[in-house]
Amino acid sequence: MSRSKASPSPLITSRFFMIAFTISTLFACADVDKKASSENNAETEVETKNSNLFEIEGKVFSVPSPIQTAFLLKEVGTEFQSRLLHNSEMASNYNTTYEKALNLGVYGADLGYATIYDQSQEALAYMAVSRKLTENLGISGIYDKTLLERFEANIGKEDSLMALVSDAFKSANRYLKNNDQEDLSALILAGGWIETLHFATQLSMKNDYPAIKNRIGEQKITIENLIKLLLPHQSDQEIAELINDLNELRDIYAGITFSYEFKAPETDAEANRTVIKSLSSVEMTNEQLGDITDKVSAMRNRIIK
Amino acid sequence: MRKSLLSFITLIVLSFSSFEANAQCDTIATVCGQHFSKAYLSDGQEYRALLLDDQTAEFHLTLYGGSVYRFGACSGLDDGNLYFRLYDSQRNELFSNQEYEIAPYWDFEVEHTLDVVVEANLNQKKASSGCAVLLVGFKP
Repeated sequence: MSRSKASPSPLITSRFFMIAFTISTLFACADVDKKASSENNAETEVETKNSNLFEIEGKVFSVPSPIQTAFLLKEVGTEFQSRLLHNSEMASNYNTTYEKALNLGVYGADLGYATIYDQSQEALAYMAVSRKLTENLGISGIYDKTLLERFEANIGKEDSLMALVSDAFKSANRYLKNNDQEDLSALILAGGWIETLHFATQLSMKNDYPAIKNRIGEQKITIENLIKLLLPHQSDQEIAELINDLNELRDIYAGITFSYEFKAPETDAEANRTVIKSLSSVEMTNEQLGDITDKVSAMRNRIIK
Repeated sequence: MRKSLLSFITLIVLSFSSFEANAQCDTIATVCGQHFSKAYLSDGQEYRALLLDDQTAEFHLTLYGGSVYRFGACSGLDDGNLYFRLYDSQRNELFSNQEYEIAPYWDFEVEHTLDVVVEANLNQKKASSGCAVLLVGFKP
């Protein structure tokens, strides 16, 4: 996969300037036989470059954890439905880095969903498959034997299991950022986001759950961040196609009304807490919901095929 | 020969610089994580930026209504090194830790879903450069 830096994150941009600075320093230091006046000029030049060191141009975009929406699905009373999940035995079908990263995101969302519903055997299967995919992607040591043992030891303790899953997501995210693989990090987030939207839309088709329908509509604002997260990597053909798909989904969302009204927040300094009281609401017809469901289903089928 | 040596040294220095920057951010993220009790689940990400002087890092997130979030914002190994401000999509300020003794963490109870922008910059009285880390947790 290519490593596009068209719109770098702050860390990547900072690294660029750090690299530029280091190279400038080395070249300045290389000409040891230069006269003192030339050395002074070189020092001045380095200092000038140094003033731009770590310049920040990029912005970091993100999408919420898939676990948050999975919690909502349980809160509103939906039962665990294994038919919504991706087949864990298909992990070996994925050959490209793109396929592996996207499906790692899908399986990660499945792992979160199964864990929230206390489906320990399914969760263990998704953890094992996540381990396999992370190893194939060169992300070693995240879903390791120790994590699996800790997971097994905590079966029945939902809070502990969720903390283990969240920490595993965070460790993978840290590894990818440290290794300049932000494109993979973005794909994992995209896979998880699409899988969670798949859960929500499929459940909404069968029954009327206003809270779930509302959450689906709220993705109108999240999809913008997801597209911006992927855009720096659009020089990769597969990612460009994914962005095209997301743009088509965004076009459907364009017909949905998301209203926002600022209200002054209230802060309790002693409790280190602020209540954000701004209002927002979603207006979405069943027809629009149907269009989103169809589009998400088509996108997911392409990802997991 | 000299060119090859220079390239080799450049490679070594670059690898070391990158490793050093990542190690610094990793350490800060680990220290910052201590502000999160077991009541909060991580959103699965570490938001990072290397900052110099008055540079500002910008993070764009969606916060879901009916949720309680904890934001941890750290730089260096001590508290009070990083200013952070929270804005809505219309750039209305929702919070600034500058008004609360540069608190390293803060909780946000969100009544309705909204997009937010978090801006972070160094407290230049304490640091002129460093890694800024933002961690987000939510109450299940």
